Amino acid sequence: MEEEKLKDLVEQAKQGDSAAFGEIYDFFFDRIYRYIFFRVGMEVDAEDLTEEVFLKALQAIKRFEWRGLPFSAWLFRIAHNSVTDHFRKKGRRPETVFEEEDVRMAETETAAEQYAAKVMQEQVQTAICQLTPDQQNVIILRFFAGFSNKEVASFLSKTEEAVKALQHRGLASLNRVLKGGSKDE
Amino acid sequence: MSRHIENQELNNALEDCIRLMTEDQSTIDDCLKRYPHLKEELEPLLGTTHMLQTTAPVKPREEFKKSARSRLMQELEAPIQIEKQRIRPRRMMIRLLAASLALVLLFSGVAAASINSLPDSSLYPIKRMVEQAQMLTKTNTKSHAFAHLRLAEKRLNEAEAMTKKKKIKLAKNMTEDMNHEIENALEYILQLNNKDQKTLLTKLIKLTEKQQAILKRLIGQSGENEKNELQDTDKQSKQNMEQAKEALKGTEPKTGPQKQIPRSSTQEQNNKQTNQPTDSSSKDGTGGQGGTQGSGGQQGTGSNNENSTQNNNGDSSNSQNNQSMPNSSGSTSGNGRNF
Repeated sequence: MEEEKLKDLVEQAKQGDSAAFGEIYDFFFDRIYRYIFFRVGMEVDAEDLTEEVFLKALQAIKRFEWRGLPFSAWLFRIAHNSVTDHFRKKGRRPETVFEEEDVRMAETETAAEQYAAKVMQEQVQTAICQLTPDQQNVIILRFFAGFSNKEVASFLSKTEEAVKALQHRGLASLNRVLKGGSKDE
Repeated sequence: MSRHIENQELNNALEDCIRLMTEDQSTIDDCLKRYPHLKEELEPLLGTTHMLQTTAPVKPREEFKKSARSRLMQELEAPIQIEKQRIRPRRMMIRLLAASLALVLLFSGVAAASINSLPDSSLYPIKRMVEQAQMLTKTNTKSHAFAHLRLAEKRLNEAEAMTKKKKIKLAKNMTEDMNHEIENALEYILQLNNKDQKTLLTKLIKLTEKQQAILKRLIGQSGENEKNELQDTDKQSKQNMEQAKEALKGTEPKTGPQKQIPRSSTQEQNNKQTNQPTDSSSKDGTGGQGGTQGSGGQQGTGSNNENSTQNNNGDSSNSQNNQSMPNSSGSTSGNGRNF
């Protein structure tokens, strides 16, 4: 979606236009869900939290102001806080609970491909869980939510250089974990 | 210092390669040709990048996406405000006393350890006993409604966890127990005023939707005998959901005369227009006084007559209904995350 169009939608949503908010929802829903899912690992939790994020956004959008940050940064900040809150209340990080049937994926052609894709997805998610929270955020936002380095930097209130460094370290750790080693060098 | 610069160069090269692989569909080899002096460091990182890029994206359930959207739109059109409650000091004292007693009795040793146990754990029966004891501390209709919904959600999470572990029987039991909690919750919810009904029914419907998604999965995995039982549970879940939907319609204020809501002749139905305190604990026998604490306490202020029970249930699961989160599934909190 073009930035101008998104700006218009946000302005309309601020005035209480439900159709505009609906478009924003449609545009961001999958990405927010994916981000949360990879952070919390449970479908039920991911659904609850995703819905909560949009409810909070709905309730707060009137107060949203453009302050040089993209709207998506604001929305992902809500998602990030919700996930943090979720872990704080649960008191512990969840075990990896990924299982085949929990995961809905984009269609692939054959059952074998689907199976292979699921296995790979499970391995990746398990590996991601072993990264530091900052590294997780960067990797998930960049590779699963599809945001640019600049956007991720604004979401996480970090410099682009810091995000690049986190990305580097995150990928290096993932590489080690996926090869069966420890995340630490 | 030079190490720092080297790292920075590598970070920039990596970022550039990721951009090329994402936007221009460049291959790993294309990228490595651009940075031959960093080949050794870049190659494994780009291999991992490629793996992440080719991992199939997770997709949310379509039905969930739709139902969440419609709840959101409903919210936009008729926002529900859950207001914070001010509790009278004396009542607060009584609450604290009761909570402390419950804590001493219930949360010692094994009981505390059982809180997060799952149905396949030896501690699980203790968890259920603790829940029952906690239920005894609920003193009004609204807190009962909340508590039963919270238990329904716990059973849902347990059913999901058991499904993941392929423990079909236990998962089935949890979905059945969830039905009981949902039915109990409905009984209490239908005695509340419109505003609370709307909030809680919306939540209840959402829980039953998820229950049915789990049941669908279970039915697919189970043998013939269990399948029949699961189908019965599913049927009951659907009936509960329909009843809740019907009741939800009855809470709509605008269209003509109020619809009759099934199941409760004792329903208070004191809608918000009358601004009456509700709750009167008709069900729990604690007498009218047991009503929402806030109602009494707030008369003086003339503000929230209602105030959610969130803070006065004796469990803190939701003390933060901050931002006047409506039926939001939730104000996130551990088990009872949603309340």
